[in-house]
Formats: sequence, structure tokens, C-alpha cells
Amino acid sequence: VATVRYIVGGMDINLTPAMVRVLQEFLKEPARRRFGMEIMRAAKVSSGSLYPALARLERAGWITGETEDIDPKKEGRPARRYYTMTADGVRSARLDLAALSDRTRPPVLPPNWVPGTEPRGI
Amino acid sequence: MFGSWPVTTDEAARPGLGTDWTVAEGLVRTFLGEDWAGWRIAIICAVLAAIAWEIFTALTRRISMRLPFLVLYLARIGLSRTDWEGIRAEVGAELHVMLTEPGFGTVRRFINGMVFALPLAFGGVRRTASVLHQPRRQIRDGLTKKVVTGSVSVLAGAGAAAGTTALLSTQIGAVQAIYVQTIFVSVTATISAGVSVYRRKRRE
Repeated sequence: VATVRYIVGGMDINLTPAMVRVLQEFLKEPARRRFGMEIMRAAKVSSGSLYPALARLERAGWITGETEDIDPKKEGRPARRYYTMTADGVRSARLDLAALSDRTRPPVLPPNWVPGTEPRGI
Repeated sequence: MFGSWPVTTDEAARPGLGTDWTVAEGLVRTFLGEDWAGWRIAIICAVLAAIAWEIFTALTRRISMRLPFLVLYLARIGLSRTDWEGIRAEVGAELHVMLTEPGFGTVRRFINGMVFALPLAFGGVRRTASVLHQPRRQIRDGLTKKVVTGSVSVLAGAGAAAGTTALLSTQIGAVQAIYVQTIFVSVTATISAGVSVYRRKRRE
């Protein structure tokens, strides 16, 4: 029987570069279940950054983790854990990534700005 | 085996091998100018080399499968058993898949496994555990407390023992004082150990 480990909400997510890449990867297909190795390769993050990020997301309720329902002896490998994004997670992730994009967007230049005309030596 | 090859016993047909290799000694030239004894040695060497190669490749496979797991298990240090078991099940399964992934050679799989295991061993697992339960701080606090309490107890005990020995030595002599103190410390240590074992069993 597959088990759900944590469904806890209300945790702030610190959007580190690794976390952003992981969220972007999840948001490509939110309903699809993904394994750790798959996310690691697609998001190009190291395992040392991935698993803490997944634990944070899971604890915040943005994703749910479940263990594969397989017979390890029959399959010849241990059961893996896969993650799926929750509806709250999709909404929160989109909002947070949009807010981050707004904060990090370079300021809009005035329409009359011409390269090389700003005063120097002030 | 080499019956179809020209067999010669002519001394002149073996240039450069010297005159000691003679028909009188029972040496017969075969394929590539080697005699039967030479081929026997070559076959034995080939079999031994094949066995050695198989052992080497088996060991390489085994090491390449085991070493990333060993590296991963370094992360166990400092974690509580519950947290380690939970995280190990997940990352161990991924590592297993990585090390048995089809389409890659042994070396590539080994490198992939090490690239996966090293960041986890050096901080990744601990950070994950701290996110999940934050047990490491508790463990560290508990360990610090034990070390400090133990050190204070040992220092206090040593000071008390030295003081009483000095006091006794003025009364009954140094040697007798050391005997008495040794017996006293042994009895006290035994009683303390018994009490601590009893308390631990009672807690469990």
C-alpha cells in the first residue's frame, strides 16, 4: 500500500535557485508523478540540493510524496518514492515564481533614454 | 590440434633458437615456431589470465556497486536512526536504480552513483533531516550535554580522589592511602555503573 508521508501546510518556501528550478520542472506538468532522479536530471540540480528542497515542498504541502506499490523482490529493486504537485502547490508556486520574477525584473528605462547619454563622474 | 601445420624436426628450420633445441631432446616445432611445451604453457597462462580478468571485472562491478552506497552511508553519522531509515529508503532506491540503469557502462554508472551519493553524504541528508524533523540539533544538544556532564563528573571525581588520598596519606601513609582510595573508587564506579544500567533499562 502506498503511503503518504507528510501533508503539512503553512510553511514558507525559500526560493533558492535550486528550488526555483525544481518548481519550474514540476510546473511543466503538475499532474505527472516524478521520481527524485528524474527531477534531478531535468532541473539540473544536485542531489544535495534536491532532497532538502523536496522535503520543504512536501512539508509545505506543495507536493505529496508516495512510495511505489511494487514487490521489490519481483521487480529486483527497492520501491522508489515519487512526487506529485498538489493544487495548492501549483497555485502557490505560480504566484511565488511570478512575484520573484517581478522582484528580479530589471527596471523599465524611460522612453527618452539613449545609450551613452547618462552623465559621468558625478 | 596443430596436426595440419607443418611439423619439422630440422635444426636449420629454427633460426636463432640455438643448437640446444634439438630433436634428441624431444622438442618438435609447431605453429608459430613454438613447441608443444610452449603451447601448453601458453594455454595455461591464457586460462589463468582469463580467470584473473573475470575476478577483476567481478570485483570492479562489485566495488562500483558498493562504493557509492558506502559513501552514502557516511551520511548516517549524526542522524537519528528513524530519520536515517526514512531518508535511506528513498535515496537508496534512487541510487540502486542509478547503478543498475541500462544504457550506461559500468564506469559511467559508477560516476553517476558517486555524483549522486557525495552531495548527500556531505550535507544533503542532514539538511533533509533537519527540514523534516530537526533532530540533529536535538542529538547534538543531547551529546553536548552528556559530554559536558561527563567531563565535569570525571574532573570532580578525580579532584575528590586526589584530595582524599592526600589527606589519608598523612594519616596512614601514602601506599595504604592509595590502596584504600583504589578500593573506594572501584566500589563507587561499580555502584554507579549498576545504577545507570538499571535506570536505562527502566526507561526502556
